Parts: sequence; C-alpha cells; structure tokens
Amino acid sequence: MLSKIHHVGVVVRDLEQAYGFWRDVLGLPVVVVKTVLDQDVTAALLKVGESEIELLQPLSDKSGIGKFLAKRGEGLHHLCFETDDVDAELAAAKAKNIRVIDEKPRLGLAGMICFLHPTATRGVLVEYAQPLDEAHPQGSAHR
Amino acid sequence: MKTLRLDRVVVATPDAAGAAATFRAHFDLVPDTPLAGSPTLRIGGSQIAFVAPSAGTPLAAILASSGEGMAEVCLEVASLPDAAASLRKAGVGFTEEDGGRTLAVDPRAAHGVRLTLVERAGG
Repeated sequence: MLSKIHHVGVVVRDLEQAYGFWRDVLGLPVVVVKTVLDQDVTAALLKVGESEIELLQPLSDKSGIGKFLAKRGEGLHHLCFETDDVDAELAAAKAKNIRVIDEKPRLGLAGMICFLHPTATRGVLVEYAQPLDEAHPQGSAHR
Repeated sequence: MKTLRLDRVVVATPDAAGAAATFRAHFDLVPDTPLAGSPTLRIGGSQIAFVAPSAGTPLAAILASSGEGMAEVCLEVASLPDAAASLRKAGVGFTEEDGGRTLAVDPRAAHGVRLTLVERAGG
C-alpha cells in the first residue's frame, strides 16, 4: 500500500550551491548525503514534513542523471511513493501491465526501490521506496 | 523561513481527467477536492493535481517545452509574509499568484523547479 510521497527528486548541477536555496533559504534540514560511485551521483535528502526533497548531483555526464542534466538542465526528475512492501507494489504494477524500468527492487538511498517507466505514468518518472527502518537507511546503490 | 510540508505536486498535461484516471488506476489514490477545478488525488498528507494549463501560463510553457509530466512542487509555509521576507533577504525573486495567496519562486533560484509556497489556514 502506498502511504505518502516519500520524496521528489530534483537534479542540480552542484549540491553545495543548491543547499544555499533549499537548506538555507527554505530551511529544509539535510538528513542524508551519499555518494554512489557506481551510479556517478551524489544525493542529499532534505526533510519537509513527512516527505523529502532529494537533490541529485551527477558526477559525470555519462550517468542517467548526467544525461538528464545535459539534455534538460536542472529541474524536477522523479516522484517517489513510499510503500511498506515494494515487492508487492512492483508485482501489482506488472500485473496491471504497467511498463517498469526495474524488474526487481534494488537498494537505493530511500531503502529498497524500483522505478516505473514514465511512458506508463503520463511522463512522470515514478519510484517506489520501502524504507529499511525508521532511521534513514544507508543504501549502497542509487539511481 | 519555516517550511512545513509538501503540499502538492502538479502534473501538467493536455488531458487532466485522463491523467488523473491513470494515476487512480495505477496507484489506487483517493480523489480529493479539485484544485481550481483540476482533478486532484490525495496520498498521505499531500496532493497530486493534474492541470491542463491555460495558454500563457507558466505551466503551459513547461508543458510546451518538456511535455506531459511533473511540472510544479508546492510547499506549505507557516507564514507567507515571513516567506516573502526570507526570499527578499536572500535576493531570491518571486511573484505573487492566486490573488497573493501563493508565492511563485523564480525557477532560476530553485534550480529549474517551478516552486510555489502557500500558507494554509491553521497550518
């Protein structure tokens, strides 16, 4: 069952520069920062009520995030729904013939995650996330 | 500035009813009070609004340049006057919309995001 918007992903060119607005002007606290070398991205989660803003800085122009930045510039990237059972949600999506990106959940910054294909969701890149515990998980891989 | 929560996400689309129906069917989301006549779904303490923008609006420009998809994030703040003061102090541009009940932050300051700020009664 989907319970809330876990986070909204935003691609930025430079995390430190982005903090100047999202953290310092809006007052959103940074709760997790992680660099994932195999995904060529550094990500930060900033708390806003029960949800978060995820800032994504590509480390190269070859990563998915890097290609997004090169093609579209900074801006909104994806919408993540929190679930208590990511396996069940992914199975339900497949049963509805919803096109998916990830055939099975994987470890991400927000817990166990998977992505649906935006062509199935009106151009919105949708992620499901099942947090690993009450505290923020320390995922080793991230989109 | 005291920012309280993610109020809503706006999806720009040429077919608001169809897009809302897609999200209802895919994600079992519950319909909520329409946002200015646009179909709106609830998830947790936030909303997803599906807007077929009028010509000449910022959302219409986003739809034209980026296609159908997520186009705006709205955050609830404790005080709109305080938020405006914080933006001015930081040198961040903004415009008042919806009769002064919403602040739209200059997307250049918000890293390409159309970001709006709203104060809710009792919020």
